[in-house]
Amino acid sequence: MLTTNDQKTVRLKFSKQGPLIYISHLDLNRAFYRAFNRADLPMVYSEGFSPRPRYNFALPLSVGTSSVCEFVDIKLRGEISPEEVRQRMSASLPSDIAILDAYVPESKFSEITHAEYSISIISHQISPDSRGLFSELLSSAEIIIQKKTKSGEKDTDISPFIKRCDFTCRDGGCEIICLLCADSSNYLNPEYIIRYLDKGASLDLENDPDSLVEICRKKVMIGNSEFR
Amino acid sequence: MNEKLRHILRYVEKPGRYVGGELNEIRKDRDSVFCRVAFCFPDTYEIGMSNLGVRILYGVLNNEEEVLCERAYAPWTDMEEQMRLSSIPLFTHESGEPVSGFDIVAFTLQYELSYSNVLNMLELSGIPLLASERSEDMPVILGGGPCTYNPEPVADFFDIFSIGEGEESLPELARLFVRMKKDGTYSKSAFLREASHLEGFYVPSLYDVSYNPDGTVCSIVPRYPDVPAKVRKRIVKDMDAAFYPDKPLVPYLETVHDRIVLEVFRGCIRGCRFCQAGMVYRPVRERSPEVLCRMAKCAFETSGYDEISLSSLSISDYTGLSELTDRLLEWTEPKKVSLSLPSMRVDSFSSDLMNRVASIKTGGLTFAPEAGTQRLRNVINKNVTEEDLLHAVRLAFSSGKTQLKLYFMNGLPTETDEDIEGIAGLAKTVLSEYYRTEKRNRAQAPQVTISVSCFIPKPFTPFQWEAQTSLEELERRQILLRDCITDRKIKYNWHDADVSRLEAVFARGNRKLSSVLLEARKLGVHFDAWDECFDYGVWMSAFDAAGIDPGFYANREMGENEFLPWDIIDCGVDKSFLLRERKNAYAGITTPSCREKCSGCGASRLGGKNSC
Ligand code: SF4
Repeated sequence: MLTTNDQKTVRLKFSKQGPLIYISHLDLNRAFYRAFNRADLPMVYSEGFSPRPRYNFALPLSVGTSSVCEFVDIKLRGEISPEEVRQRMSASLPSDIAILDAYVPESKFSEITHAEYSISIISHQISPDSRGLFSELLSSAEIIIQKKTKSGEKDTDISPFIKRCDFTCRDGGCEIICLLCADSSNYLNPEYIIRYLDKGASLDLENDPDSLVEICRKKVMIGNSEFR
Repeated sequence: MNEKLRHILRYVEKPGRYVGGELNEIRKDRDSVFCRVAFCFPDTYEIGMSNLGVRILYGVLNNEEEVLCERAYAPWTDMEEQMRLSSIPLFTHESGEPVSGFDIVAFTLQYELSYSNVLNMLELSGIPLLASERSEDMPVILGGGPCTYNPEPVADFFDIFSIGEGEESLPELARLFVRMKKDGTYSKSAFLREASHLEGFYVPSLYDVSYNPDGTVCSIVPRYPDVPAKVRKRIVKDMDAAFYPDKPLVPYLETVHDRIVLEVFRGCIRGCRFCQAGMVYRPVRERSPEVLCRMAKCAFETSGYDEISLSSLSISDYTGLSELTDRLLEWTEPKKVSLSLPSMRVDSFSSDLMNRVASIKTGGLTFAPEAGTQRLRNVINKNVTEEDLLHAVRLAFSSGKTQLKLYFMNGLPTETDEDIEGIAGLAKTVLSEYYRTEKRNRAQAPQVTISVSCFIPKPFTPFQWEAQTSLEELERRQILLRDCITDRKIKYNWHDADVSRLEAVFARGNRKLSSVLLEARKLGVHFDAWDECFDYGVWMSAFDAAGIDPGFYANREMGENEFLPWDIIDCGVDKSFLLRERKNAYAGITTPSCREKCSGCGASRLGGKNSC
């Protein structure tokens, strides 16, 4: 019988880029499962009729968003060093998922409070002057967006979930760095920021074939320090 | 990936369908090869990625040093709309290059209902639909897959068809292309003429079709003496030596069959008289357990899939089944990889298998009696008795199962109302078997689901001459059956008869149908295999516009002496055998399986290791 003493958790920090940004969280989950199989890691399995290996991810990532700070915790048994896990998983994962770090974690996913994103919008509606309009839009006391819920669309005020938002605007595009709430009960998807600006500044991104939106998750935070 | 594409991917439902980048995807340098093939699957990514044949051919073509093969799938309706708005032509997943820039554009024709998607994909590529309207410098349009056993309805759109199994013939074709490109003799027409000499290739433009006054085909004859009068299908003779991708493509999106598919053998020993696959894949050729085990292990290590499915037309007929499962379970169990056997026959269903195979243990069980009475089962040569079925059902119930699914067909030749009522009766008997089983699972209410499709007469079957039952009559029988089912523990699903009618038209059609396809495409049809897209009314308008009566193809009994559009193809099975089988069907005489006794169908002359 295995005791919990034989088990340990290894955390992998990884990035997600290229075509892989278009796969969903569920797809990523399956991709990791298969990668564990290929890497032949000594996984700990759940009890029950159809045992599953035990691993979980820090935050879900929306389809279309890239990231340089994703985390997965893996439960393993026996003697295996984080470095070996890193090597074996690097060999088994597709190159668009790069493992950046592997270690025995000291923090919990539930401690995460914020995440920082960089958003790039290309649109000829944008000029250096857009900065003022964008800031104004996002500094209003209430920022009402329609959130999809089980019972249809619901108006939600997202202003409490935006901690910081900086804009750099030029002719034809802008970069936005924003810090958004990311704890389990107050998770804000950066997509809502884009939709709000799109509407508020009448960018009409969907119908402008030359427009382009790119989102990247840059950092995950516990208060003022970076999550590890 | 260009910016236009990245822009639209933001606004489609599942962008992951269009970007490639799967594990074990093969990328090659375009400029270092002489033959570039775009392999197109005329349905969604999820369905295309589940097709074993496509994976094999993708692997075997890329295995050739001077050949490159990339993939494309039919964009779903939201993506198509975006592509048309942004004028993005159909592109391949690996390089994102437009399909129209490839040397060969190959389509796999898995079902007739995908024909409109083939046309749509050509359209989205900016390639003229009719072969006669394409210039010399345009790609060669190649068709393959099960529907090419009667290629005539789509012959005007294709330059060449691969008939039969492609893992040896397609590389041969590509090598011919490379050779002609290298020695400077290539022109599309010269290439097609040469290719018609390779075994298993049919170049429709090299044949003249003539018709009788009644609209039936009179003859299809080669225009030149060097072009074969009949095209014999290709088979792989030795399955153990056949190419098999050792690094399967592993999609990220969840596909229909998302697992390792281990093709155990080809062909079927049974000879059900309605089944095209059972006839055209003859003779049976098995892989040895050693080779299969090695393939499975390798596929597991390179894919990480946690499920292996043993595939063939009727898996329980594999002579090495227990050796194979024993050997596989030895390593799959500790690795927590599950085995599934999707094609069980009731007469071979044993408690031993039941205990060993996870999918049988956990999943629902499906049996296919196909007809409701023994009389009709004899007619169709489904050599399964009610006792066989009940034996299997008892085993299932006593092992704790409560949900069973039974497959049937409606509209089979000689079918009467009695046979339809027999379906309901059989379902009832199966259900009452549950209550008679001592060791049954009492915690859950039992349910028997009967799923009834419509019979479609298919080329190269003993029933190829039969008229399909009319739409009205099929629907009457569906309702009759519905009214016979009184128990709420019996659930009844049926297929739409109008879809089956359209399939019947194209299954037995000739070249005249190309005008219907063109009209239908003008009316915007696509994804006919999808309920949300299929519109029978639009199809009927297309037939009207083309001046063609669908009943001529679907609901007419073809004459035994009539020249059939697919008579140009030699699939191994002789017409005389099919006629004999047809007579036996009407006499209610069954034919033993190939293992019990050879019935001299003709397929043995194709050769094949470990076959008949
Ligand atoms: S030749 Fe005989 S054994 Fe072989 S497939 Fe035909 S009927 Fe069966």
